[in-house]
Amino acid sequence: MHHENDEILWKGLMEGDQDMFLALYRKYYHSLLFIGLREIKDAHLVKDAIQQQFLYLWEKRNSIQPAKNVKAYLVTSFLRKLTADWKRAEKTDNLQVAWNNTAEMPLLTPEESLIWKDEQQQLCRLLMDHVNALPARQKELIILRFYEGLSYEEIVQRTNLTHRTVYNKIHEALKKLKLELEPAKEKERLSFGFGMSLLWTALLFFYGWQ
Amino acid sequence: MTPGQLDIEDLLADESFINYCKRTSQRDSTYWESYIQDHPYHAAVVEQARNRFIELFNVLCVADMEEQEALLKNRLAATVPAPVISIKKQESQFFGLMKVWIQVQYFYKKKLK
Repeated sequence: MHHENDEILWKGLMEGDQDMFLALYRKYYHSLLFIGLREIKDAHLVKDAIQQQFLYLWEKRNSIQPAKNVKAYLVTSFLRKLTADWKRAEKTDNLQVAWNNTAEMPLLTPEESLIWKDEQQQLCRLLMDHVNALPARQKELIILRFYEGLSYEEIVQRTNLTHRTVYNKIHEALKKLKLELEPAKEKERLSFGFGMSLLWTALLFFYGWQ
Repeated sequence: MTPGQLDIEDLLADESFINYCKRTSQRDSTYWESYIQDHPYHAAVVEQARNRFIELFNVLCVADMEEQEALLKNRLAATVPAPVISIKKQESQFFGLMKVWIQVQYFYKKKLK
């Protein structure tokens, strides 16, 4: 499901296939988000620009051209849009802006760990429950720090909290996420992975016979 | 930090440790790699913390994507006056044809007047 070909998705979009359109959105959402956050440390603005770009694509689906390089097209037009949005916002509001001229910044992408994501869905659901159970302020800080990737200094500027308070709240929140697994559970997870690979080998073996 | 006092929360709250997890800083990566070598009894907890960070990051990715996709779907539904869009393809073809037919009728009526 996550390896759809860009050309097929783009063609689907041009033909007005909303599922294909949403698949294209899901495929590029995080790439665009993290590229955007590298330029502008305001997730709200970046996310809105992504929404606007895709709404625009959907509205213009009857007149858009076949794209030779979908990713390049999406990234370029998105950055153009984001820059325009930022300039407009700057006039009305003093946003925390950090123009970053370092070209590369390797980052974990969700795709990188999709394989284990399937294996550990239950664990992830539990973790998300813990995140959602956090007090609003702590949840916000966890998202800023671990998802949007703001540094402590940037969080201090954004929230007007002291460095110490931010650190303490994040530390407290991390405790509540119950990240410390008992050795038994850690083992369980390993044996689960082992079980999965056994299953996989069995399947390969089975189909090998056919 | 002395042996036994290092826990996952301390590591994840440490800025340089996250840089090491995300591979965003060569300096921090080098620091933590040599730290593991110098403190082998902490290697396991460092590895665990790194895994927990990846899990937390992924969980937040999925949750945000779901939220944003739902928002996009709502916006699509709200800005949907274009007749070509329909939930089912068969329906959309049907209404598409109907629309053409109505337009043709309308055009001829206008022409007749």
